[in-house]
Amino acid sequence: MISPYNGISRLGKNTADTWQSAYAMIGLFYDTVVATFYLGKKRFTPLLNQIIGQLLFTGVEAFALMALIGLISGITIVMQAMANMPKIGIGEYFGNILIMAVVRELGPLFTALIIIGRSGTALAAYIGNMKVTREITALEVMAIDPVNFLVLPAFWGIVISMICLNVYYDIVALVGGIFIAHMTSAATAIPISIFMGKVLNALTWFDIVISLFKSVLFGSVVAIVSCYHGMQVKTVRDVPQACIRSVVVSMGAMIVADILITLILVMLKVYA
Amino acid sequence: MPERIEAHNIRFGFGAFQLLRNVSLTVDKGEVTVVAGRSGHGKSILLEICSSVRGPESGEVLWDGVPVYGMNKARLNAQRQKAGYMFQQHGLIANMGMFANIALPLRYHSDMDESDMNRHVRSLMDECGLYNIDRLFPEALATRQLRCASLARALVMTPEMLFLDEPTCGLDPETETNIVNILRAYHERTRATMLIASTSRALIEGLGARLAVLESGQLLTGPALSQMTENDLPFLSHYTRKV
Repeated sequence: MISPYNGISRLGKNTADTWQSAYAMIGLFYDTVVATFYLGKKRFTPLLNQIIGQLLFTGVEAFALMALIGLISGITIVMQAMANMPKIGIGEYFGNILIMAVVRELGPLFTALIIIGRSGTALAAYIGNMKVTREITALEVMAIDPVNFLVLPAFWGIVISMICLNVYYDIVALVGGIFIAHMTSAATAIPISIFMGKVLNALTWFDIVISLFKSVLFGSVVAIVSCYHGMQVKTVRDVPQACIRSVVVSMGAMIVADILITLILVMLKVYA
Repeated sequence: MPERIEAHNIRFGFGAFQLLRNVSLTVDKGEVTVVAGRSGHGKSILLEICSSVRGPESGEVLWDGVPVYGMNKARLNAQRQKAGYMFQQHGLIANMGMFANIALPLRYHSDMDESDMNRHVRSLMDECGLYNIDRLFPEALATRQLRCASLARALVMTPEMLFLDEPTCGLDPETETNIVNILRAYHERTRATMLIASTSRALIEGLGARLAVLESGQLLTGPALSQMTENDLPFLSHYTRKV
């Protein structure tokens, strides 16, 4: 029989554990940012290769996948906009809608999803395996802080990759989307430069800043959550669990952050 | 100056099972002590507790009179730079080549310029018999090379304290002799304090080490161990000499 006491007890324990994890992750983020400024040139040099490695894995190797996702989503959005906006009499807002959808919202979101799927899980598994094989203990006894040596390069590698991939996604989705949609739709009589002009006219510095801010925030979330769950591994059986948790928590945190940003900007009437 | 290592009334267990029961051990400055005993009786755990890797349930570990587990992170890291640790399972970083692995503590902590560092690491690798493996990753190496690389990394900072977990376990006699010779030469040169978990007779005799035997959660040393016969402690029959 399920006892109400057990249910309440479990709910309380899970809530306390969640808060404790959230607190620890904020602490890890703080330690990483502080370590960046206090690391010094001597200790930064051995980490440079690791940052470059993370950039290659998270950024460069994801270019093809990002192009594919950008193109598919770009074509879909642009074709829907081209076909339907004039019908309901809002054809003149074609550029604004695209900028809102692609640059402000979908760019950071899709990029973060790709990074969570590719790099977040890989990072959690990599750090988890290092825990199992005692490489992290070895770092500690050599007086090398694992936050400096592992989390910091992963953090900056992912954040920089996230920014670059987001910009790349926006360009591919908008330019590729407009070009291909134009070639395949009934609107081929209208020069493509008109569509591009509408999009560029609608683009403001504010859109770029919001998009980049979201990139930095989502990149930080993915890096810290993945590293934290990797660090929690104790045995080899925990590694798959760490990967799953890193995906679930990263996605949850990212969606909550996205909603909060949008809500704040709407409340401040920035989006008005 | 090399450090003195003391462990007082160490208790450690897994759940209800008590692995170490009020174990005390002192390794004087410049002394070499080998903790022997049957597998699963806590040699490695004791070594980890004495070397700041793993805290005990109760008891105290002192390095030169200072409690290790009471130090703040900065002080502990400063002290750890004076210590070298060799893991039983090597603990080499999997995504770094062997040269980078061995040079890692130097790159991170020392002010040596690149050419001096290369020379120092190269001579240590030659001494440990590690040739033409600079760019190889740990998974490409044999047990002998992994063990030697792990030893080279432990020695690269010229530590005053050395903690070695089964340094010769599973090695061929030639490599075992080579490792004993490296450790003896290092000890003669630096008079470092060494605490070793091992059952190797060659190691104990080769280093002229003080023997301590861990049995059923108790550490037997000095007179207590001398009074033991092979009937009391069958494990001792493996050693020709006991202290």
